[in-house]
Amino acid sequence: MPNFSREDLTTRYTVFDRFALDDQRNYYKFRKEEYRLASVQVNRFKALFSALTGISAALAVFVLTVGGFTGNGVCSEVTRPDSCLGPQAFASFLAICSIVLPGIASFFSMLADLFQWDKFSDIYESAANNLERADAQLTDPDMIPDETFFRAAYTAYVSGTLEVMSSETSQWGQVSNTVPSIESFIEAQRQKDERNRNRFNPNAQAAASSAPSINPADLPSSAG
Amino acid sequence: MSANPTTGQTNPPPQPVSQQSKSTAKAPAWRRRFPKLRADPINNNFQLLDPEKLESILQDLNPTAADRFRKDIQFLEQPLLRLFRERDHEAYVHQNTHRLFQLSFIILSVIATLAGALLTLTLTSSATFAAFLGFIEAVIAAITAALASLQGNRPPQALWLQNRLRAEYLRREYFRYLMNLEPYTSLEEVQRRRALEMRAAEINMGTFPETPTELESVIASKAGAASAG
Repeated sequence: MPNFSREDLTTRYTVFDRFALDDQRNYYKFRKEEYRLASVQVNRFKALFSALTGISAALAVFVLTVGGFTGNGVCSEVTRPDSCLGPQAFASFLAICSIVLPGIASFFSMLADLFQWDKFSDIYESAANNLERADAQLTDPDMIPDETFFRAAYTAYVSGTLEVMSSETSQWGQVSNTVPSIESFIEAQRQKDERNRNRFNPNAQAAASSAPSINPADLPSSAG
Repeated sequence: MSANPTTGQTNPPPQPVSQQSKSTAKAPAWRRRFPKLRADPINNNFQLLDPEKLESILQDLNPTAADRFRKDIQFLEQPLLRLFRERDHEAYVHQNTHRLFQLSFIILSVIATLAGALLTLTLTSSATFAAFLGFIEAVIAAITAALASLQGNRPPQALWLQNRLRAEYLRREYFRYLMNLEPYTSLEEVQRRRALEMRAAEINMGTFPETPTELESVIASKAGAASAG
């Protein structure tokens, strides 16, 4: 670095240390904690709604068993049929819960697949650790009186920090994917929409009737 | 989170420097990165180095070296920082769009699943309600097909990663120049500036001076898959 004096490099080191390295460290720390917290929260929701699904299904069966119903859900209280209305309404509510709650649980599950909080928090943690290693290359310029050694340490420190930032970017490129179950859902809905439109289009109907029949087993299953 | 020694309450960690609006600390962590219906506009005053904080540090350093540093910062505005802001904002807009589409599909798939399950349940008991649920299913299929074809024209995920990669390279180049790393080390001032202008323009076009990274191959595969689909 022939045109840069030691004062120049010390100035730049001070600014880089404060702005690039410290800011980046704050960034990794902030994101790691935020993503870890998000992952914990979503996992709790998934667990809660899954547990509630099981409980509501079990409770529905229990109510139907002890609430004055016969095995096929008919009120056994022939003389007082009104006494079955309460348990029946409650059992219906529980049945709806056991349909709705897994839907909510799957919403959180797909959300976790979309945002990939677990993977990202690991990436940020390892990037923060690597940053500490790069930082260790040069901690105090005044402690290195030798000019050649100082310049080598300075280059290793800055290059190392920029390298960590670059490799972190590469890694999140790998994990930011679309949710696979969403892809199959889109395909299934597309086909459904196609069938719906063809139903009201005589030309398409004629073409479809002349086309070879499709085995339903070959169609992609809809997303759960 | 660190604890505040005076109040005993936990402090959130410092937020990163970014031209996007700060996440709302009050919202639960899982909702903080949710997409917005309208992305924030570009911040044309955004600086990678906060001018006020920078000045407070430079005041205590060698005056000649500090002046030289200020000139470098001033020079970087036009050939690099301007491009960084554009690429960074483009990346943010496409990321927001991608997540908006994905979130819409997730919500639609949940509604479709619920409608399907209720349809099966009510098929024999209430024909009218079953018909209504069938109608809902058809509407969901139509909306999903429309959304899928809308995002298929310009896949936001590939554009997001493409612009993010360019923005990150520009950020790196910004510090490379300021820190006087290769290839700026042995160049005279005029050549140094010329080299920066050339490299920033190349990065902005998607030609990277260094060897391709993993992210570039990911972008290429995503773009290929999108065009094939």
